[in-house]
Amino acid sequence: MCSADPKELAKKSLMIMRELCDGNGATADSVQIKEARGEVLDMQGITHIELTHITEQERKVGKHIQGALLPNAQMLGAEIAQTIAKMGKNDESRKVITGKLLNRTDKGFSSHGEEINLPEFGIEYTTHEPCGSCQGQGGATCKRCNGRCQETCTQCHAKTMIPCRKCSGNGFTMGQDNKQQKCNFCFGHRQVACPLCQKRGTIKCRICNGAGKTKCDPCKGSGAFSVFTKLKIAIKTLFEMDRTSVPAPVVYAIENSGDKLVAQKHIDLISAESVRREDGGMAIHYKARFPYGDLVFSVNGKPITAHLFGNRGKMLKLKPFLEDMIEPGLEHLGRAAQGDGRVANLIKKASQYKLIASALLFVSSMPKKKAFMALKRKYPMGISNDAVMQIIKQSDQALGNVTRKPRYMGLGAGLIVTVLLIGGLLLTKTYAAIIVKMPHLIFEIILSTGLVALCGYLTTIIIKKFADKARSQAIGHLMAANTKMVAPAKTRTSGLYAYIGAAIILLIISEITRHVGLATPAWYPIK
Amino acid sequence: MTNTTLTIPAKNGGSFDAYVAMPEGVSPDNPAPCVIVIQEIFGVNNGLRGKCNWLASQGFIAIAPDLFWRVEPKIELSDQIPEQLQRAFDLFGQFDIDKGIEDLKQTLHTIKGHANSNGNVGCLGYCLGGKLAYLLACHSDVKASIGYYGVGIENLLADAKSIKGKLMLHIAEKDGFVPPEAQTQIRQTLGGRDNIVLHSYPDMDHAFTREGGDNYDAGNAEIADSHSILFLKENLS
Ligand SMILES: [Zn+2]
Ligand SMILES: [Zn+2]
Ligand SMILES: [Zn+2]
Ligand SMILES: [Zn+2]
Repeated sequence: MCSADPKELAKKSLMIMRELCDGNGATADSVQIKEARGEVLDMQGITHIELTHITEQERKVGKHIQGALLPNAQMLGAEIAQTIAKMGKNDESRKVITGKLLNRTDKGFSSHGEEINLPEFGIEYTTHEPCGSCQGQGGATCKRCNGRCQETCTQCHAKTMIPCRKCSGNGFTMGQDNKQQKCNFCFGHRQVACPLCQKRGTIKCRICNGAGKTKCDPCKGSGAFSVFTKLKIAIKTLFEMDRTSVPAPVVYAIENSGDKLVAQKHIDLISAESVRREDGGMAIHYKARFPYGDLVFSVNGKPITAHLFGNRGKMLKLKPFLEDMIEPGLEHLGRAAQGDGRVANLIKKASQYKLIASALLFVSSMPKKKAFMALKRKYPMGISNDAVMQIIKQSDQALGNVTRKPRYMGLGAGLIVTVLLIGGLLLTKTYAAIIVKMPHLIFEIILSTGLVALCGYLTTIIIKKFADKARSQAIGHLMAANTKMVAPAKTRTSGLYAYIGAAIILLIISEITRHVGLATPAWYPIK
Repeated sequence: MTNTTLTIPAKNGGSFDAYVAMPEGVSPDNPAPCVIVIQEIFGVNNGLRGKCNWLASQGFIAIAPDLFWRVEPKIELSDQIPEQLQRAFDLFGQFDIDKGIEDLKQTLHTIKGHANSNGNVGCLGYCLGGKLAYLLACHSDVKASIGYYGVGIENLLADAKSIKGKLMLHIAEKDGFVPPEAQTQIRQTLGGRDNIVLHSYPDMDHAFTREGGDNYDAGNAEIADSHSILFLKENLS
């Protein structure tokens, strides 16, 4: 393990600084190192590992088994506590658990409050509970038949016979010759066997269907429920370091992104080994090493301090200084944003500063938030977030000002095209000719909506063309290098007016058709 | 097959007759499933008794209650005689659907307890009976219901949420009493449910399984009936 030479790092950071300053009120040569002090620092840290667990329970009707079957809930609690205690003591499982951190690129360095699931240690248990509604019986005696399974026949009322229907219980019928003759259905017996109970006098109970018992509803007759308990094991980390052993800015960097610092090799881990804490708990102990330096740059003769940290010379805490250096450019940009003077000229002047030029380029083709991120990526240090936000906002306003007039000229031109298109369709016989073939209200609505959308879209294209021209007059000199990448100018509110205008024109022309006796769209209200 | 008549007590007094067709060889030791056959607007006539006998030949205890008894008991009409057709529509006009469902529930309760019944009861109905079969599925614990070209189901689709058993509907696509929009509504609401089966018959008109009727189609009637028998056997055995 060897950490980079602080002197080399100072040289690298000088290049970064020159990149930031060049074209922003200073030349590369005017940036120099005034003072440099560097050393290699060692530090120690420890990541504690706490075992945690959660249980998930699921109930199911009936007796089923998933995983280990335990007699009751008390045993379940004891079993879970025992399992976790064993895991903390067992060397094999300790190795697997610490391995979760040690096998990562950051080896768990500075991991704090992180929760890691250990699916390989998950266990499932089952306990069975009797149903409370039926006391585990699965059912209750049928209330209708009292468990006798039978009820009185509703046809013969337990008499087993019913009066003959054919002779109405007379035993004889009137023959064709008006003589009485023996009923050929009951053979003169006046009664026949009950057809419902088949002479039994009772029928199957219709509530329990002859079972004598009714099923318990909550447990669906099984008398029991199964409770499946999933035990999920996880670890939680806690990082500790001696905060007095390293400079304060480094403490901040390690505590906030120490894992990345290790993974990206800003700092070296000399050792990382699992240890047994005095209380028996698990932990990983680290020894880390990294270069650190204090630097004073001179920019245009003014001193600017910076801290260098890590193998790649990461600069910590560079006080914002670029704002002051591009001050004259910011003033021109501010005036352009307020429309104070010839906006195109003001923009040109402001864009002599590389930072402002970048802001204008980003803003001209992307939403403000994205532009902010892009500019922040290009200037990650030396300028405050507030200042970057302000520059983005003003650049957007300035570009809006320079394209305003042309945008409304474009809108006017687009609306003229709209009048010609809609008029050409509605104020000639074309429309009547089309709807004769498709005489549906829905079709006419779709046609009109489509027409408004098309005209609105055409207008926005015209607006963009006009705005593009004005924009390239103001910032064309910046775009020349990568013209292809730049998106068309924004239409802003005039884009909305394009669609509203098209809709209004359609309504006006529809009204005209009513008065000149041409086909009016079916959706248009006629009193 | 033997047939008999049962007297079924109505819920709030009175009683009505029901024609019962009993399959060969069933007994309390060899019980059979039951099917309530629900009438058209022509009463329990020859045609309907024929349907009962057909079901009995397939092994089901078939029972057809006289649902018009509150207006005119034991009426039997024919669709082929114009005056009787008119009378059928008159009776239909006076028929109380809610009372009809109540009588069907009583029938279900009685036949369930029949000495030869296995306790599983289904129902099957035509036209007016098709609608009643649908409603019985919605509002009773009948295990399986079949509706042939039921009229007016599209206005009762909200009831379908309480269907506990199985339901099968035979839909005639050219049904003069069930317009295409109503059929679409039925398909959209009831289609795709686990406990509901819909069968569609292209080019078939209302009552295409009524033998001797104007719209009778032997081929499609046979297809529909074989679907029904299979469905009843699956759900009532
Ligand atoms: Zn229970
Ligand atoms: Zn009972
Ligand atoms: Zn009896
Ligand atoms: Zn007799």
